[in-house]
Amino acid sequence: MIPRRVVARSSQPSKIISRYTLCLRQQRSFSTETLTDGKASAPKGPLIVDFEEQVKLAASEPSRPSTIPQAQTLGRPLTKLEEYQRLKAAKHASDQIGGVLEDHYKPHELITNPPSPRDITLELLLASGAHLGHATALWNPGNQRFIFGIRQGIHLISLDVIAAHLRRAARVVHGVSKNGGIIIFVGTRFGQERAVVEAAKRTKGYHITERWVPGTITNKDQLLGDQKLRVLNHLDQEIQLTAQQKLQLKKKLAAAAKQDTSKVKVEETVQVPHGFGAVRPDLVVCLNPLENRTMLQECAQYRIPTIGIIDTDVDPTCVTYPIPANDDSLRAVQLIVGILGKAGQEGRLARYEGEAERMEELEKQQKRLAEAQRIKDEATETAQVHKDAEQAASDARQRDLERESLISNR
Amino acid sequence: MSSATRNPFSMTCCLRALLEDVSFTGRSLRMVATRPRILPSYQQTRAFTATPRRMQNEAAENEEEDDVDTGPRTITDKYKKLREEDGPEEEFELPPGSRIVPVSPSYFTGNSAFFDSWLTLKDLLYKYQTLPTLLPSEVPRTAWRTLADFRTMAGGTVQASKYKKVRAVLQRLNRIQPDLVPEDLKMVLENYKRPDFAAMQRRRPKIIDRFGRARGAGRRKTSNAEAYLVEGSGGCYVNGKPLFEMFPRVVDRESILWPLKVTNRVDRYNVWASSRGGGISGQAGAITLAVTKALLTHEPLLKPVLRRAGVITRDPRTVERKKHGKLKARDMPAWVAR
Repeated sequence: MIPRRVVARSSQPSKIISRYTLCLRQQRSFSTETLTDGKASAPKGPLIVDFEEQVKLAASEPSRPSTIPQAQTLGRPLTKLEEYQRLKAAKHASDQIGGVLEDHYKPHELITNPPSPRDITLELLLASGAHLGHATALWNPGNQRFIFGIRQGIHLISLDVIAAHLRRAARVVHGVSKNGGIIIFVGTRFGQERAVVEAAKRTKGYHITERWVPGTITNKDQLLGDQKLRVLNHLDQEIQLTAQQKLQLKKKLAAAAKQDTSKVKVEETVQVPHGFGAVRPDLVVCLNPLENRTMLQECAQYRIPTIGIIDTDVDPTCVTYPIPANDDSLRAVQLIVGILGKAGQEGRLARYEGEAERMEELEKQQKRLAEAQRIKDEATETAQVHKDAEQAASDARQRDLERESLISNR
Repeated sequence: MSSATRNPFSMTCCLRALLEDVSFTGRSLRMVATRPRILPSYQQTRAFTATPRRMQNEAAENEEEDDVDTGPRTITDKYKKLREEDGPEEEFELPPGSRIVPVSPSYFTGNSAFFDSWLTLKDLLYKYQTLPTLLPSEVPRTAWRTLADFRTMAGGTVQASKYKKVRAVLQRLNRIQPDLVPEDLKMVLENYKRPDFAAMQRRRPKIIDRFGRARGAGRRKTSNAEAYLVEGSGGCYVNGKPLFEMFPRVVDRESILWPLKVTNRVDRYNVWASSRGGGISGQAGAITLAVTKALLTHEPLLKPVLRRAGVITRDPRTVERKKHGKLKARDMPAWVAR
């Protein structure tokens, strides 16, 4: 994208150098100061920074002790590490000089910090090239309802349809993740690996970046049976056994193996028993349905919902929740899988939050119960005290009467 | 057992079943061993049981013995005391929403052993790929784990082609400037290095034995030779025969004594050589190399001279293999019209 605004470009390159060397010596950047100072003095129009002034300003301030060693002060040649640190410091100091680019495409950000489903805009989709379909001759007529028109011999997908379907898919991922379902992200094309793995990481889901092994769902025990499973609670933590449960289990195992109890070892957490078998996914996200026909067929056979990117040449009925979009552009694919991954992450966090609330509620309830019990106990106690007092009083009366009768008898 | 126990998918029931097994009455222990499986038939083979099948079988055997012996000698008595010590049994309740999930995020690839290590390494590479690197020629020599070794480490079967990819990433990580390698990366790389590499690198020093002999071995074409060099007056025996008897051609004899000749040491050493395999010239070449190596053990400073004389390098030329579709290695069959 073309930068919208360029600020603070100096006309005197020599001064840049002087500032650069100064930065190097002082090991810090003045860029923020530059911007705030400039804005305060001249808020309108492009900023012209007086570097001379900056240099003076910097010189007037007390110099901070630098962690970057200097060859002159050390009296020996720098080591490789020190040289590298110097280089980094210099880079850091100088990369703020010159123009500031705003709103430009940083390819890695789709992976490291993808947009959330709330940030889906038509502009974003357009900029990512998500609307570009295939040559009109290759189309699948099932996609007619997604197609906006034809331009230069290719179909263009309607941006609002993409956004709507993407939002729906994100909600599905969010919901499945919130309920602790197993989500697989499948992207087997070249270049999709990192985005797929990152999305799986965010969701705490699973990924497939190379060939889908046929039978992973239909013949799961044979193919996946020897891999490890574990038991997790709502907060994705393993469930701990109490000391007593451990002891019980230990004794049982000891009895079965005819061993001494002290020799038997049991795990701290609840384990999935040997021979439990493999698990199936609850949701599959497929970035290239064209190459994963077998997988989609297996999912359909076991009623596992699927989300897929449907380009104009793909049959839209092969997945449960289609996202009509360009599956050939890495940028568009990374955007979509990034958004879905983020949705999964949000769902997971919502689950944690819900669990925390539930625990709080439980605690409150227990407290209420305890309070009620206490009040009840107190009441019975008071009643008892009253009763005792009455008893004592009646006893005393009885004794008085007896004494009186004795006296009268005498 | 409650009705919940009949649902094989209910986690709570499974764990309760586990603890029912733990309840120390003879009856329930017997039940574990002998009760008919209430799970659906397709689940029978992979039923959720607390103990491995082997242990269950043992328990069943015990059961039979018990039945044969006296009835009332139950386990109840045996555990009654222990039970009193333990206090009341605790009902095992899993928190609601507990679920069974795979450990590895690569579970559904069916090859989590490979993918987990591969992705860890790729992550490290993404993290540190901007660090300055050495030239490929400057990188310290490293031997990575062998495939079999890697399989044991990863705990699964990994194809050779996959491990090749892993090694390529390791090689790239290893190129990072050694002074700048971060600690975490260092630890991971150390993990992938062959443990006996240092020992492998150490070469056995060449020695002159107590009889004053230095041994050298050489090869050429399909011949092998070894030669013992002793300080002496210029005698030379090959396979127990004098040199001229073994090699009638002058060229071969010249070749064998060439390392001594160029260094002007023909009359200072005695050679005792043996050679096997190949033809006459091959054997001669092999002995030349063997003599050179033995001579270098005596006088290492002669190396540049010998290098210039061209006797240090092993001649790599051998007979080229025959290929199918050809008469010899490269000879094409004669072209005929039909």
